[in-house]
Amino acid sequence: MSEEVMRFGPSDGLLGVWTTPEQPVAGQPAIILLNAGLIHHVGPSGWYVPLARRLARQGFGCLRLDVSGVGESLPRDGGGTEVDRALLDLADTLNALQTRKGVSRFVVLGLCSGAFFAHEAAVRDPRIAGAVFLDGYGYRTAGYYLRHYGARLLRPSAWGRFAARLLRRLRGVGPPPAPEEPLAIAFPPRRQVRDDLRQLVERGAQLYFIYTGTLAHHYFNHQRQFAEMFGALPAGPGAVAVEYLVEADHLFSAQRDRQCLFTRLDRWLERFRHP
Amino acid sequence: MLRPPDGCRAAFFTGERGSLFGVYHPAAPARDREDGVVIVPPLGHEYVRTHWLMREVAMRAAAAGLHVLRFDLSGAGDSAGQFEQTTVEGWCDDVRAAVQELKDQSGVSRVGVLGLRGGALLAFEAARQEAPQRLWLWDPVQRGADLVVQLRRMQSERRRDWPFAPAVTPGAPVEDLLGYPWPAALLAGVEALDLRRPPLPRTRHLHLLGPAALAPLAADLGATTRFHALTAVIAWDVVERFDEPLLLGPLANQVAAVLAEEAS
Repeated sequence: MSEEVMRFGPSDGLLGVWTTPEQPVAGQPAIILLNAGLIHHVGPSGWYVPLARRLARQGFGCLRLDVSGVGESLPRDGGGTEVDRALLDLADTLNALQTRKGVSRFVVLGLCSGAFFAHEAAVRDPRIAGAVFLDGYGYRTAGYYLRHYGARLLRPSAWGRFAARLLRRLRGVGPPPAPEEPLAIAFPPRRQVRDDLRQLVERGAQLYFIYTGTLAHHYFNHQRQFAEMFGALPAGPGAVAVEYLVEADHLFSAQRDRQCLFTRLDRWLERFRHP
Repeated sequence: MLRPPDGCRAAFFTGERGSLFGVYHPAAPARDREDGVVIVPPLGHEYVRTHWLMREVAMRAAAAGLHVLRFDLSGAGDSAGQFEQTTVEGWCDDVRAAVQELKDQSGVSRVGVLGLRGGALLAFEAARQEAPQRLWLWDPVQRGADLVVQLRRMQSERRRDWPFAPAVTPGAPVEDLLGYPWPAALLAGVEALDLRRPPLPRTRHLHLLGPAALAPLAADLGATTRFHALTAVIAWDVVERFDEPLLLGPLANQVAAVLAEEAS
């Protein structure tokens, strides 16, 4: 297994670790793993590293990237939002891989904030042929609330807690019950994301959404919620796959859940193996 | 070797059991003390938590005139190998390889070792065989057995918040503890580590850094051990924060200052 450190971007301020595919296949995309929040390029519990090596054994070159200001990469000058900077980082990354590794198609994989960056980059750059969104954009739907509260309605203990909260509120004691807020990241309007997805599918992009059980308390709690959120996407050359892994936590901390994820990724990536 | 404007150089170097990922921070030329420090990272989940902190310490120590190498242990981070195939002996070899690597890269002959948490235990163990000039133990795990107990307890507590989290299974061939697959042999190797177990390393300058509560340990490590009180107290055993990066700039400053002071 051959790995190398790559420096690129403005003043070589960006860093990624490139895993060379064991048996490269012309036209097969390279895979870029994006930071999950502030976790550096090895990923949560370091599992981006075995994933990258596994993908390389399947012929996919893989870069685990630190976006600017995270891990080993330097902050990027010039202001803008976090998303603006990440988009510039990704454009620099694709350019560097295209020039130095001769790859012209890419799959981006992101978890949490990395998924949001992956979405925005995929919409803007046609070189991105596919994207994997782990706990990416999502929106509560009527179905979400029904499943969330419906299950609780059947539990007597939940009724007890509700009554106690109501009583405290009526007496003016304590704060009003706080709704369970999504993760502290502002999502774009749902309509915009839906339009983006339509555009991506029409362009031929392959999209894979995987949501974890952690989100059940935030904004996603069933596989069918994806259709509730975005409706039927048009049939096109692209395709959307959705999975809800109820037992997996947000960072895939358990080996069992990682293996499950890796196996699913292997299967999904088959579509790119014979370009 | 590639060198961005902050001066650090990230590259793989050769270890006993495969390539190791390291980042070398050369000393600021105007302040070069011709002294080096290798930073040994913590073990398991604490490695990812402390990455930012170790990077900050390295940058600040380099700015103060020290040559610094931080690296990933075998089977962790970007280094070669799988975590479930690592051993304590292999990790001690990694520490020695990193010391040699820093000497080769920087050209300095005086190289000390700074170990954080479980990394301090490893640095201490490696020093029993080959003592560095200086050894800094930063908030060390005092007994490996304590670390194993803590890992199992936190994993058990995690199941309260996340019922699908793997159960604690002492004695199993591999235990899934806070995101890392700890093999039984590695856990046994870690359990056997103990800072107080003789013989003590023949390091001339032994330093202990940590919260005030750690001060009594200094006497057990030899009369010449110096204790440096750090103001920040990190709750290593709170399961809700097991994956939370430690962004503690003032602490990094304090540790870097101790390194620079003692190396001068």
